[in-house]
Amino acid sequence: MENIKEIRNVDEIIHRLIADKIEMERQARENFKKPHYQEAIKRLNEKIRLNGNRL
Amino acid sequence: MEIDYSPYTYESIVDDGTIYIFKTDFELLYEISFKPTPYLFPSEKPFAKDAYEFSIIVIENPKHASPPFDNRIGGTIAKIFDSFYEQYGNTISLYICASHDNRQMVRFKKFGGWFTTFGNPKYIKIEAIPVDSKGIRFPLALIMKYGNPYKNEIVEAFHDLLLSFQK
Repeated sequence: MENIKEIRNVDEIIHRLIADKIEMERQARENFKKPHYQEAIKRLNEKIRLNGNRL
Repeated sequence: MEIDYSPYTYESIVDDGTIYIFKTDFELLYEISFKPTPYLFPSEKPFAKDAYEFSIIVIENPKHASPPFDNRIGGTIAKIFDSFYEQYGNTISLYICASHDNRQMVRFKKFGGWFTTFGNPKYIKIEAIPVDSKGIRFPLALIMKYGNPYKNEIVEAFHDLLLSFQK
């Protein structure tokens, strides 16, 4: 578990938000290959097959 | 010709409903994520735990082309927002635009357009464009529900955050 230190310098906060954003993108591309992600894609494809790709 | 704004079908990746995916007519796979950002507001604030950073990520682009203009994406994101806020009604979402390619203002304008066109009137959006110590502009938007019990305190805390940026 990450130890979140209190940071109130806004320059740091903005840069941490950007760093988190980059990390989210990296993690998303890494997770994409994992079974749980591929399972979700299968579920999505099945929904599209049954009901079309629109809500 | 009538413009098609209908949202795409989407699916949740994880049980807590913080990550969603959808596939466009142009075969792009998008991920919409909400990541907790408890450091955004001072930890003693009762709403600090409700802050999430919101991201729109292109996961798969088989044609390797720039994502084309697609009227259906904005509506899909709006539906996902509604779904997330149904689970976590007091969420404070923060959307910040990446600046690595200097296209942050283009992204911000696009996001603002989506919000105006598809945004549920139950939400408030506050925008700001702070500039960091190197002079880089970081457009950001904070979104919450009108019914958030800490609405006024959140607005005040957000202003305090931005004011401290100018010191």
